[in-house]
Amino acid sequence: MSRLSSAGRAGRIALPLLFALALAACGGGDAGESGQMSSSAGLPDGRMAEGETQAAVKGQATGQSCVDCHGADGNQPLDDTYPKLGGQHYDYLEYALVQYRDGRREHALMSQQAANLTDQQIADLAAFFASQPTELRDLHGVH
Amino acid sequence: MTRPLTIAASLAAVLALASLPPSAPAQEATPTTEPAPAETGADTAQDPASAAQAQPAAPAATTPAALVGNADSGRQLTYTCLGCHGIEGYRNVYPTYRVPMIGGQSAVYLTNALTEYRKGTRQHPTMEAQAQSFSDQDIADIAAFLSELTP
Repeated sequence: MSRLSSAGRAGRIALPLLFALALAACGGGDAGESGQMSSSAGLPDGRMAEGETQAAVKGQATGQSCVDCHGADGNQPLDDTYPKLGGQHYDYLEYALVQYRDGRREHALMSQQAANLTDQQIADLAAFFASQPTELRDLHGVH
Repeated sequence: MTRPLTIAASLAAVLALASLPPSAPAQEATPTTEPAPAETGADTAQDPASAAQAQPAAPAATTPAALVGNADSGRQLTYTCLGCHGIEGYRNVYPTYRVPMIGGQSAVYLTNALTEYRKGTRQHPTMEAQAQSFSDQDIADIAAFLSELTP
């Protein structure tokens, strides 16, 4: 389990500092789009097929699978409070799941869903949902 | 000895910069349209009928009172989002990941996300700072605009 360092907790303390770093980082954003799902967060490469299988596995605590609530391709959330996942950046999806797993982001269902996921399962799920059609977009050119 | 001062000075400078919204129109101080108190779960459970009379417009709110978002206002308010969400493939750092695509998410999801950032129950330094400046109506407006976007 190569969990992320406790940057979250430290971030509370050094929030202004992190904020400064975040600002300093503004201006870039290399869109270097190499191959598929290779993670910079220390996760293994994601595998779409395995992710699709995993997405239908019922969570022990909730009795729900990913697709039960987010839709088969991640684009039909059961409830408006659930996000669309289809086509979302895989590395953001990985980040979100790691945050839920590690207790740094909380949601009644998601915290339980993610609690026992391995790094590989998270990478696979992210790869699968990122590969689906999307209804999302960034804000480039929307104004 | 001088180092703490240097750090303090640079932090102060950064914070001062951060407090200047990149786009002027972002702060059209919306009159404080506070939502009706949302924590009425216990009351409504006791006597739905009288509770309904007492609070004519209060739906059985699950999320912060459902304000009607104005997408035109949201368009203005979201110029400040472009620095990160308006750049294709823009990456957050520490940790590194591309910031999420948020156009096209549901208004409810977006409202919840911004509200949680504002409260600090969802954590991200930049997003928490951004959300601090938004009223409930601002958040509803932003959510209305973003949710109407299509790929």
